[in-house]
Amino acid sequence: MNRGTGAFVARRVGTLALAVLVALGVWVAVLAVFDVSPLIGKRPWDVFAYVVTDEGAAEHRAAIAADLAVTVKDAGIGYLVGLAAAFVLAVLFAVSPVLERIVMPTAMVLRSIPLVVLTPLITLIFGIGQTGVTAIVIIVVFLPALANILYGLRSVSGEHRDLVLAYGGSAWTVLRKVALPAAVPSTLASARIAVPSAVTGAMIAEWLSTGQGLGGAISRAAGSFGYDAMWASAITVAAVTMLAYAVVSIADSLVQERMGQLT
Amino acid sequence: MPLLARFRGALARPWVGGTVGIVLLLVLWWAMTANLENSTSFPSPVDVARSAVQDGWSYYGPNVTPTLGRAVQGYLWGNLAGLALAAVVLVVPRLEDVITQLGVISSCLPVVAIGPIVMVIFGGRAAAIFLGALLVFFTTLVGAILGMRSASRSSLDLVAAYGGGRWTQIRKVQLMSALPAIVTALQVAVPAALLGAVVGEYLGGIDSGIGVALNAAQRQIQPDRVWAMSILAGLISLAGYGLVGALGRLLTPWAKERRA
Repeated sequence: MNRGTGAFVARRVGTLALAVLVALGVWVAVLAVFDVSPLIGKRPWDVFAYVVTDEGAAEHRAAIAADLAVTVKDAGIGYLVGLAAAFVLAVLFAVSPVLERIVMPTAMVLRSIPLVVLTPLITLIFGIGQTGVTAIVIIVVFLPALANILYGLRSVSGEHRDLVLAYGGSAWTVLRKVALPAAVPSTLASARIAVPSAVTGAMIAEWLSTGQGLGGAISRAAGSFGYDAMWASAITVAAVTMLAYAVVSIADSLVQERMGQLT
Repeated sequence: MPLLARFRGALARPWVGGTVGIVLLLVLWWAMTANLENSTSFPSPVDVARSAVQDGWSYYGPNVTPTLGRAVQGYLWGNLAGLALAAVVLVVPRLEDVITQLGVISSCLPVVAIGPIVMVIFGGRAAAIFLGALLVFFTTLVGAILGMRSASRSSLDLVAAYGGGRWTQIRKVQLMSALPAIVTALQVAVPAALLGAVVGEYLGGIDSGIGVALNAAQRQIQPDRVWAMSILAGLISLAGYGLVGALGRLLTPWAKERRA
């Protein structure tokens, strides 16, 4: 960590803080403009009171934390497996273009099926439980990442490839020495973009199938007029997602900087 | 082996490769379900096709049309908002970081969490449209900003050297290079808008739509219908994706070389 890196991270965090402030402003403004009843539309300070200063705040925090742990696990497993699978398959496709031409258009078709529509199908196949949730998150993470990483592997210039081949390297040497380093930026970008989609996938699966985690908690709270709990859960999941996104995105920039690709 | 070589050559065309992939998928599906007796969860492609034909337009029409209407509205509003903010960045580049970060925040708001809140405040129909717009907003915003940034430095300098102002640079260079990226973003936004509309229907407060029909079919344990409706929804969003792409290619002919 040199000083440039520190300044870079500080600037990123500063921008994030500014954007969060603007978002809070929009939140308050929307509720005010549409004159939403304070019983339904909770303001930032209501949520703060619910989880920090209220009488039962400790219990509220404990309940949300327990649900959050489930959601993080649901999203996390699928996120890691989905990214790893996408990477392996992308490398396979880079070596065997025929396989790619058969699988990729099919993958594009699957990708265009809306997630909610997919959820009942997955539930039908895998049943209600961890497997189904993980399968949904994997699908959400996997398909865009596959397309992205493959694009990165393909971005190798002809001259670099020819050089390795001219010196007697095989297709595998090209992959190892040229294509894999070239795919680092797109792999990191996929890891970044996949964070919000993994959480969304996990929440939708929890909501429509298992009924556990924050996804389940929010729909239960909405059904039983527990608007405080609903807002607090929603803000929690949004904040955690944002934090995870920021961490991955800063790591992404630092790695690219080290590789000399940060402009 | 010339036959194998010719086969490989044919696969190089996306249509052929894609068709082979889809056929393989159908065969795999059929093979997996052929031996299941009376499965309540995993119908064979034949059952699904039969159910789709039996139900016909009188079942699908009234359910698909309202969802499409809401998805289109969400698509329009979300893209409008995304493009408007991207235009702000184009005119005031200093705001890029903050506006991108706002877009990230909007993408971190999980629809499942926002849905019930919007639904309570604005009602069911508006919630479906709003969710579609929310999902579309981020992809379009980021796509448009990336496209503007892809304008080559030398083209910008050329305009400046010939005495063109900032406005000419925006018009002649940045918009031109942003449009192909915007078209791609608008394509990706099609399934997103449909997703938002269907999630909105699952929340309730709406009496007809793809989500409502799926929910009902699921509760009445009609897997044939669940599968047929899901596949139909996928085909619709694929058709939208293709349509936007074709329109985009017509409107941005200069992007042809880059796509090829």
